[in-house]
Amino acid sequence: MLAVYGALFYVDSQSIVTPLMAKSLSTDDFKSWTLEINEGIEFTDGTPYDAEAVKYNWERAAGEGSALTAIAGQIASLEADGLTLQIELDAPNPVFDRQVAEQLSYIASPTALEEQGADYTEPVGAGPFILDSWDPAVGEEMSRNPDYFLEGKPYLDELNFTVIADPAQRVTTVTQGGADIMNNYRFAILDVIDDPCCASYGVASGGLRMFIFNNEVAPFDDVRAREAAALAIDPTEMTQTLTQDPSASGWSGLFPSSSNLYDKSFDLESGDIDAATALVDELKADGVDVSIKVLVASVPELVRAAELLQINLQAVGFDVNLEQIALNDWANAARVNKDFDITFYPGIYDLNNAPVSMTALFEGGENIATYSSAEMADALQAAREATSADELKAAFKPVQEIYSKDIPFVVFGIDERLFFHGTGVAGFEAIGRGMLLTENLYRTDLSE
Amino acid sequence: MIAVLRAVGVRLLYGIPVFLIVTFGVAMLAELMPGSPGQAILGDQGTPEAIAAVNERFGYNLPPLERYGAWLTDLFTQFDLGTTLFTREPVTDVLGRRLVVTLQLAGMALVIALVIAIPLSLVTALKQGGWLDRILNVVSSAMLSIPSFVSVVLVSLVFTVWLKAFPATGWVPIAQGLGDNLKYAFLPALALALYEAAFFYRVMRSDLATTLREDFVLVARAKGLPKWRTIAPRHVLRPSLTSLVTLLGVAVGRLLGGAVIVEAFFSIPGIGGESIAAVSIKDMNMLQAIVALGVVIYVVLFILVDLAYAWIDPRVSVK
Repeated sequence: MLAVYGALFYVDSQSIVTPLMAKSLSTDDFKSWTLEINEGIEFTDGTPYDAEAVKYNWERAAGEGSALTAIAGQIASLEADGLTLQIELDAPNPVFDRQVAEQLSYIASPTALEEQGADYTEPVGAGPFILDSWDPAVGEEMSRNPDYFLEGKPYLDELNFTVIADPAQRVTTVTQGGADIMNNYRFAILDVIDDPCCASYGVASGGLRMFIFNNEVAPFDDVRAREAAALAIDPTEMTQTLTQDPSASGWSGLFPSSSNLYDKSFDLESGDIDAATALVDELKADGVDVSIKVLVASVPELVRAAELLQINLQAVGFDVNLEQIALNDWANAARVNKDFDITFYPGIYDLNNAPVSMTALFEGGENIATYSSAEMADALQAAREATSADELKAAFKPVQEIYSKDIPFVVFGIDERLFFHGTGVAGFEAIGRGMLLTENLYRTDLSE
Repeated sequence: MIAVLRAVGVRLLYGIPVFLIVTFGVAMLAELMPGSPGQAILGDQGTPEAIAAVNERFGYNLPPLERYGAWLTDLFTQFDLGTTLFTREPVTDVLGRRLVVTLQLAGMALVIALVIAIPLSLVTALKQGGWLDRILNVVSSAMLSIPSFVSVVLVSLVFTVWLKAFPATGWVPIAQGLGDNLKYAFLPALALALYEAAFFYRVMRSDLATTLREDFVLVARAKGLPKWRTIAPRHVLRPSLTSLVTLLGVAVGRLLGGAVIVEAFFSIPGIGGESIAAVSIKDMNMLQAIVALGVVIYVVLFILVDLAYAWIDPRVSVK
């Protein structure tokens, strides 16, 4: 999407909202915002990339059948004038710029949207590449946009994405030179990470590995049950089982140690079987049914971790039924139907853009745990309104404290996405949750 | 000739209820799959309301019977299998592209399997109990017992990782060069051929051994005809082909519809790979079309097999 549409803004690796196609997004009161767009940008079909185009896209995003209604729906009115868009929100939102950067940044040609209607299958953007063909079962083929607004970019003439379903085959294809770049977690390429054919580029933000409780139903509507489950596991054992990397370490904080937001005093306690057993016994004595269902997407590493969790929880007195589900069906089962007592977050939960990502995790679209706490809502509001690094750090202290008290989910590891690539390609710059700025990629192995 | 045409017509008529039962079964089974096409289109961020709106827009909210009826009507009145879920392309176009790839792979796999199985079975049948016969007996048993998800890994390990002789994944159409096409097609075809070759070998070896005990072979030997040049190819091979032809029909059907693991492993854009994609994104139209195609292929193949019996053995008549 980024390669075809470019972006109004993006969140860089330091979590800073950075303009690309836009010039600025400013506000005095967090309710009225002004968007300024760079001059001279056109979509590849010749339509001007201006405020009217942004307005058209955002109004469409707020409409029925859109995945972005929650974000775009907060916009009360839009007024376009040339390259300036006046935005009026329903209520003040201090992180609107971050939300725009993450979810409303991709602007399609209004002409193409109008012409193609509901069957919008031939995307037209103003990004560095033009989509020539796409096929969900095969991949995408793109060619250079010669009129891209950043002069001289992109450096590559073609950019092709190929679907390779088998994880091992993806790695082999890159080591063999059949593909230049693949995206995965570090543990997936441990065997070849030192191969001279290739190199790797890690995405700085990293993310949380965690399992989530259904906070709405018994037994995990009771904090004693959640605490017992947290105490029953050893995060390092869990992480090593998941990654199959004996040198991997577990983690039980809400932020990595490298983050200035991290406060060690709020790490979750773990690995205390006696305390966990006592809590489960207490629940049983109170008549709480401790039969639980662990739902896991049938991805090998997650299944390994879930099986270990099953053993750990059974050892402290829970009666655990483990259910696997296809990865594509996990979202419906976990997010929509809440068909679990515990479920593993598939992959990692990105830490980039902490005020937005933590809000989503505790009370927004990523709140799979259906956790609800007025105290946490206040703490997150303060975090969103923080205007300096010190304020942000201070604001996130109560967030971590409430998390360690309520335990709506259990963090057991920190991992990072990385790009494993052949040595013939360079210019890596990851943004947001690990996307690449493809206009910066270039080849180093071309002869004159 | 009229008898043959009548026989073909009757078999085609038998195929109609099979077609209806299988496609209806798939349509109903698809209803049991978790999630919905709207969920697949909107992804994780889709709200229940947005998902319902997309399902309604594309008619996925209709009762399954009504949807199946509409699908059947469109198929038989306009030969319209609908459009794909994401790209909104006619399903027939996508299916056509995929079928060409799968047909090539299946064809290559069959050729490789036959080239391996027939000469080896002839040699071991004529030298029964010899060292080669004993070794191939073990090897073919092993190959039959190795599932395809293991054989693809073994083939890839040897030819891609160790020998670095073939690309790990991908596909180049014939139109872009036969050499490149064969380079990408060989490994998946070989992976598919291993099981078929073992199967063909064992059946052929057994049938050839039986034929070799027939009186007419004894007569040919008594007349002093050369064993390798005349008796084996002319007197023994043809009467031993009946079982192989039946197996060929089943094998072609299996290769066209069941190469799912091999195609997914090597990222081949064929019917198998498309099946996986269709299931994972809940592309009902594509799923239905693939199953319908499978039924048609099997019905046609069994008709061809019946006709082939008569051609191989004139004593057999088509009724």
